[in-house]
Amino acid sequence: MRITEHPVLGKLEKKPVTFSFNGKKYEAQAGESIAAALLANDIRILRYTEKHGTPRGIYCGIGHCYECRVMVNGERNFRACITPVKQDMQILSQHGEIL
Amino acid sequence: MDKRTEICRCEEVKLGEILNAINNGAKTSKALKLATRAGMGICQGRTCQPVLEQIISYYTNQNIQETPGLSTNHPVRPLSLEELAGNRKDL
Repeated sequence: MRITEHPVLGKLEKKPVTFSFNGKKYEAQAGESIAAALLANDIRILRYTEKHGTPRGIYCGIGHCYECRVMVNGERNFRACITPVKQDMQILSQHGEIL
Repeated sequence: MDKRTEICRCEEVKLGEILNAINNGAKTSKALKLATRAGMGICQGRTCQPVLEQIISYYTNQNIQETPGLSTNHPVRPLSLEELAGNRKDL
């Protein structure tokens, strides 16, 4: 589900990067945001909420609503929609554990 | 609107809870925030503050105040310059 041949921008091939989300390996393009990389792999649920455990994902897409917060390399609350994905990034979805 | 419509996504506050607060006498968005926690979540009302203002202005038929009363409190601690330089987490 990724646009590789854009009518206006032309070819959109960039250096591939591999990262892991919840233990599974995925491929993305360098410099893409984590949310875009996961969306390209058809993953929309990025976390589950604290109170009712409802699934959440991209909402505002510009980094101000924090709905897409994920855990990256062990650190919490990274905004997936504005954090670029890097090689061998370990991403985990957050499951409403109250710290 | 359906009572289960979610108004505050961060604190998962539904419209029903907000209407109950209004029935119990909440007159301003600040009172709504204190009664239902709507607007106290991680985004501090960025998503739900406008909605809270509209609900309150609708149910108390005043127009929306120019300077809404909702304050934002972010869980931040003072950092030394040395710490700030070292840990560039959110970049």
